[in-house]
Amino acid sequence: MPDIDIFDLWRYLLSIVVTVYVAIVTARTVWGYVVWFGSSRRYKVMGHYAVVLLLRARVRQFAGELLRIGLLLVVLGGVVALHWVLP
Amino acid sequence: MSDTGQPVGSDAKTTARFEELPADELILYGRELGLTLDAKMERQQLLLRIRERQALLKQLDHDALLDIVVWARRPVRKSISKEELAREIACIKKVDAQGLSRRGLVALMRLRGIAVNGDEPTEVLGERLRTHEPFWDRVTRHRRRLMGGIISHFLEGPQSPAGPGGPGEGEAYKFLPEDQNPTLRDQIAEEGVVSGLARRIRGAADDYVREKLDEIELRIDRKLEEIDRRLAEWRDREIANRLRIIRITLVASILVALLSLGYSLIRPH
Repeated sequence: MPDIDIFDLWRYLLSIVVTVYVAIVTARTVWGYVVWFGSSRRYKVMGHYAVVLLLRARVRQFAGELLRIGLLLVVLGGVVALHWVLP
Repeated sequence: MSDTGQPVGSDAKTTARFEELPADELILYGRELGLTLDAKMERQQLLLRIRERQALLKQLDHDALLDIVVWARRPVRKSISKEELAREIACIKKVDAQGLSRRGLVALMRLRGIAVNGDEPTEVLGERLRTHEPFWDRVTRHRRRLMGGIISHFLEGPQSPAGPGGPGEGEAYKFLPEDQNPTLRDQIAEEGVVSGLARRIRGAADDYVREKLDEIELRIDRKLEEIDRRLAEWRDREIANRLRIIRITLVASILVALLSLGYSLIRPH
């Protein structure tokens, strides 16, 4: 009988399932947008406008939120790294 | 007509009809005249502010307003109306009053809503104009000056900063040339009675159509700008929501990672 840790198994399964799910949903959404924006000339113009609209977004406006996300990412990286550092 | 014989509005009809404009266009119209208007203001308040601005424009001397645009080197015709001058002046953010006549300085301060009695020394007025610059405008101006210095240093090489004798300062200001409409006599002499009269009538009709088309174009442009602004607001809201979701996900991930770390520490080896 192999020695399987249930918690480890849950972690690995969760990470695999979530990663695959996110990748599929993201790819499907992006592909949906690409197909929709390329379906006619009108939607193509709308797509160009959407790109311009996104490029005109001011990052500074979301600086606080981005800073918090950056800090949380650092904390997450630290906690994950502790898994290897601690015995 | 104002005391200087100049019409206050770019066209009297537009000025007379501003009261019929919807609230969003009224706000834009007021902002074009240099007013700081809040979108939440009531219609009566907006109308009052715009009427006050028009009354102020009537009081101000046309030549004083011209002095301001000449000082800021904005390209205008000498026959430009006061309202158009006010629009040009509203775009001017300059606060260094060097080179501006006293009457222009007083007019600029009144347009910017700065208290002025008229008997203060010019230096005091210049200093007051500088101190009344909004904080963020000052920050933006300094930031742009810094960026301008850095970029021009790399593109144009190190050189002395533009002073009174620097680039653009030495050349005297020139007004844009006026539109020259030939007189009816000239047209008839040149083309004959029928052709001359027909051309004059056609010209009047063309002017009317052009004016109407300009008005329609202006309203369409304003509507498009409004749509663009609302879409930008929607975009900002969406980005903020997405970022909030990412933050919540990260917090949940950290909690799970901490749980996992705790389990790793306490589990039997």
